[in-house]
Amino acid sequence: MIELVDISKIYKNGEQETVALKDVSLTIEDGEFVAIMGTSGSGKSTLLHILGCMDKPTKGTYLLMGEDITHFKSRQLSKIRKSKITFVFQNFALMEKYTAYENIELPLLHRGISTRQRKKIILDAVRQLDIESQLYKLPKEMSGGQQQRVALARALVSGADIILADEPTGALDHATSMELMSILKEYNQKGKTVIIVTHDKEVAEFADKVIRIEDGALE
Amino acid sequence: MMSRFLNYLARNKVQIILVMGLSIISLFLCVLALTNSFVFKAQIKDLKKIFQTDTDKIGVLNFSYVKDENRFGDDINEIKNIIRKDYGFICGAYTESYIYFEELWNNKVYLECNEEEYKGTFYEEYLSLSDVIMVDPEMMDIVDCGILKEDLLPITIGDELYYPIYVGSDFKHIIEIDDVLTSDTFGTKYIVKGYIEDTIWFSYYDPIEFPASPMKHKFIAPFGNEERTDSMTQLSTVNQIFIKGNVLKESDIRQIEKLASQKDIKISISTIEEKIQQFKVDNMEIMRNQYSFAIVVMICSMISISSLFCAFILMRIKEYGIRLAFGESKERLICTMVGRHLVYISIAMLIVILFAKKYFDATVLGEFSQLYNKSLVGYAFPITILVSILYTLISLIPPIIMINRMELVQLVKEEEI
Repeated sequence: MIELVDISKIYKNGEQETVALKDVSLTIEDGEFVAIMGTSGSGKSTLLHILGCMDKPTKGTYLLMGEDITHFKSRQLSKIRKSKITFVFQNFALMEKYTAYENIELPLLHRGISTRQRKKIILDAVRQLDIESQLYKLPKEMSGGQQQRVALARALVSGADIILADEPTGALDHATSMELMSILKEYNQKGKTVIIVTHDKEVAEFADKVIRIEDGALE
Repeated sequence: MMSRFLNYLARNKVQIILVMGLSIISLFLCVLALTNSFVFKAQIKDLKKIFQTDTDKIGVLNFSYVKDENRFGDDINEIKNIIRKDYGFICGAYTESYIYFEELWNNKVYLECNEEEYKGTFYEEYLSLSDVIMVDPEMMDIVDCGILKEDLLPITIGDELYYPIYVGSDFKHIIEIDDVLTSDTFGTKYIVKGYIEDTIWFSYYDPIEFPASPMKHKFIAPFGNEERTDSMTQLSTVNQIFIKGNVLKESDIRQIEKLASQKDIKISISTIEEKIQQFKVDNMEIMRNQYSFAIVVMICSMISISSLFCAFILMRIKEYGIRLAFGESKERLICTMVGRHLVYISIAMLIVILFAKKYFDATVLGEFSQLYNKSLVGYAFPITILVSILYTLISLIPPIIMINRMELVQLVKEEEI
């Protein structure tokens, strides 16, 4: 379970302060599919970054699976990102010089998993997502939809229970977007908690719960 | 792991070639400067080791003019005797020459033994020649080679006069104690009285400026009667005549110089310490220049490597962001970078070691090669390894700071990952 209590995020630039989030409190149960919606600059990405342990709140409390991680150091947050939370980004965030296989392998490295075991996990994931034929291609050799599937495979192989997706369909056409959302829904039904940031109502309809944010505050 | 590393090498070949190139150049200069410096120090240390006492108590006669070379044998013996008797100094000379011993002329084992030693020198065509150091017995009170002055006194057996000779340990299996060796020059007969182990002697070319060499392939014997008075033999002792006293008084030195001038021989006497100091002064300038050049190149190379790493980090900023997002810590990114750089440096070091060895083998004179090898392996390489680690760590400080200051959210936003 994810629980945010009175979370605020203020960015300082010299003497100027920008409030990105203002006393946000929310609870997301395990296995929920949540969509965070809001206009550009509303603070939805900041919220996602805090949820994903990529950024720390200025104020408030963040409880992840009952543990207060608000004041965790960056190394502890890395561990959480490695084991409990995974990401799907709008522009796929694939490493361009690396093949699909190497991109998918990234979360499995430095975990003490043997090469053979890693290969098995990766092949299982690519089979499920139907991108076996893309495995040894570079991102630039794939279509947007295929790249996003590789990004999704990378997120899934980590075994994390929470999938955070920042505008995952932003760079995809309508049909591919729906296909991707169906896959996410499928994984949600298998027990994964899925949190997506989107401004697309049709995409948000896949979610069990929609959280709207405006000017850094929940509506 | 290995295949990932090889893939990494293939992907980053430009960076690797640049880093390795810079490292190889600067580490090679470092090895060069260190080796030369240690060779120089080892040479002086060896030289001091040859003498029994402090080098300021030993003088050397520097000859600048000899009018009548035919009389030199008699004149120099007279001067040496006056120095001994009137001034109370120990005075002795040596020369190193290649002579034939009749008994070894056709000794196959002896010729084979010389073959390896003389290879590449003028003497490789004359394998039956023997490298003999001829000395005044008084030299044994000046140098420390494990032989006493008394050990070099002539021996009479029956009617025959024999001179003791000591043989380098390389010939132990060929020449036995009490064997007789006959010089083909003057017919001087020598009787083997012992072997020379682990001892060094002055260079054939110059006692001060060239490194001492082991005596294991040489012989040492006193001058025979003929050699003692033979002008040609004695002329070869020029600049290799030493005096030793508790105090080398300036007034005594001037008088000895005056005494020589009365015989139309111009000499000056300087202490070995003065000679060493002069040698140091002459070489220090070269050393200083080499060190300065090596340090400047290393600093430039460190700055370049630092800049290269920073530039490559900027080029791979998206990758760093992705890696951090998927749970890699900054510490791991830094460790990976340092580890990789240490691998490059190790490879560069290996190349430098091989190249330096080849370089010195090809450029260093035979007399120096042993000293160079000793300095290279014993000092220059270990120190360069330490320097290279330091060099790596210093050059990586700016890139490490850069990674440490990375803000994951900024990377995510800037790169729109």
